[in-house]
Amino acid sequence: MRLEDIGLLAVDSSRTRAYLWALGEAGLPPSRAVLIQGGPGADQRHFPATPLFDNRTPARERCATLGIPLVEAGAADPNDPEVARTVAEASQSVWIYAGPGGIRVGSGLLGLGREFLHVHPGRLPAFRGSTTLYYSLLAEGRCEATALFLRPGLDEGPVLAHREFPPPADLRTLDYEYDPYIRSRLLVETLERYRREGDFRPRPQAAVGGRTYYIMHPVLRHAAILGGRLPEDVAQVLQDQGRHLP
Amino acid sequence: MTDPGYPYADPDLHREPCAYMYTPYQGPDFLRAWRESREGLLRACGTGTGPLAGALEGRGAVPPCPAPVRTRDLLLDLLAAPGTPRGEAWLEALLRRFELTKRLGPAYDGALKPIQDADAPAGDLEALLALALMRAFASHGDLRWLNAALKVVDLAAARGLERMTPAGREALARAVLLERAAVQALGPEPEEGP
Repeated sequence: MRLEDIGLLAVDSSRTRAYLWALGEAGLPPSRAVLIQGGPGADQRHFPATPLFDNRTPARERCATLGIPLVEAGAADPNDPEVARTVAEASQSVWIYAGPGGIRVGSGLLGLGREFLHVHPGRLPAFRGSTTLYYSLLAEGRCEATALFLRPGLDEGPVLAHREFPPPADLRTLDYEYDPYIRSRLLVETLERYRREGDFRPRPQAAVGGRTYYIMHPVLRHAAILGGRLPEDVAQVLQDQGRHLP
Repeated sequence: MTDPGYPYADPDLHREPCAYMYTPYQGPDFLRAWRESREGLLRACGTGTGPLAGALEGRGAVPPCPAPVRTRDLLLDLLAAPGTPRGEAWLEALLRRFELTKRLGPAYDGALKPIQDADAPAGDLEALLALALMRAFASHGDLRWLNAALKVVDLAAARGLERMTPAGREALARAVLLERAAVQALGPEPEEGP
């Protein structure tokens, strides 16, 4: 059974492949998909095989297998007017969003009167922004995901669901395997509840405690993958170090 | 694994700063390469101490944020009077400006837009900001400061030390020492090579 009022707006990525795989397995395929182009270098992007989901089958083929009507937009940017026109012409009121990294959804799409359902890899509002799965691991040793509706402020939209997951045994799998996987699990939970209750029950984020992170430096990323963790007494450690400075 | 080297302080990067998108994982050798690169930077900075204290003398009157500022003056004020609410507001603003553009302007107008100011010295900006960020990290343990400091030090290394004053070199050396201690505190000790 397809979700008649749910669409998918995505670029072909590991995240999109995880979403389509999980939604297919759960019997929750969206009723329409709009695929935007992957941008420069997309064809060379590495999609490693993983036991967590089918990371090898292109999104186009998966849509065909699941019987999801597909529109392939010529644009590489989700904010291209062609993409907004395509979404506006469709009947779906909620669009699962899995667009390219580093591009924020702008007013052209957000002003259409549709909701865009995004699954963010971090707890909100504490971990807004980029590479937050790594920051959360370094700061707290936790992997979390939050489903929300997009709003103009970065990761500031109302929350639909949140869940913590155990960190993976192999932290090298975060980018292309575990991150897409945990997002897909929470997406399925969110849509199963929606199908059951007929309502997403969005709730506003806490007004305080918001913190926006920027793309992680490779040194910190390596530290996270190698199992590093911010000690609780880091201030003391560094203040001691500061006293020893020449 | 062969030595991956440390590519993020390459001199070309001060013309086209790195966006750090899709950086590859290169194993423990990468952290070793980073440390070696920073050791070279420390040696280039020299061991001069004292010029920074001289530069901070009489400073510390942090203006409200936002306001038109010369960036070097502002950074010296932030270093002379750390931890004030005004100073933290400025660091947040500079963090955002730097992360979005990977550049520092020699001066900013009241809307925090970079402006050209021929009289505003630019040689020490990255060094002073790196130290301010590392001191903020040392106070709060907020990884955003350490993350930005790593990028700012990369940019300072890419730009080279030629235009830097002795106070700037001392600030950079202190920032690198704190940065090294911070990464060490995170705990991912690289395995010893063969």
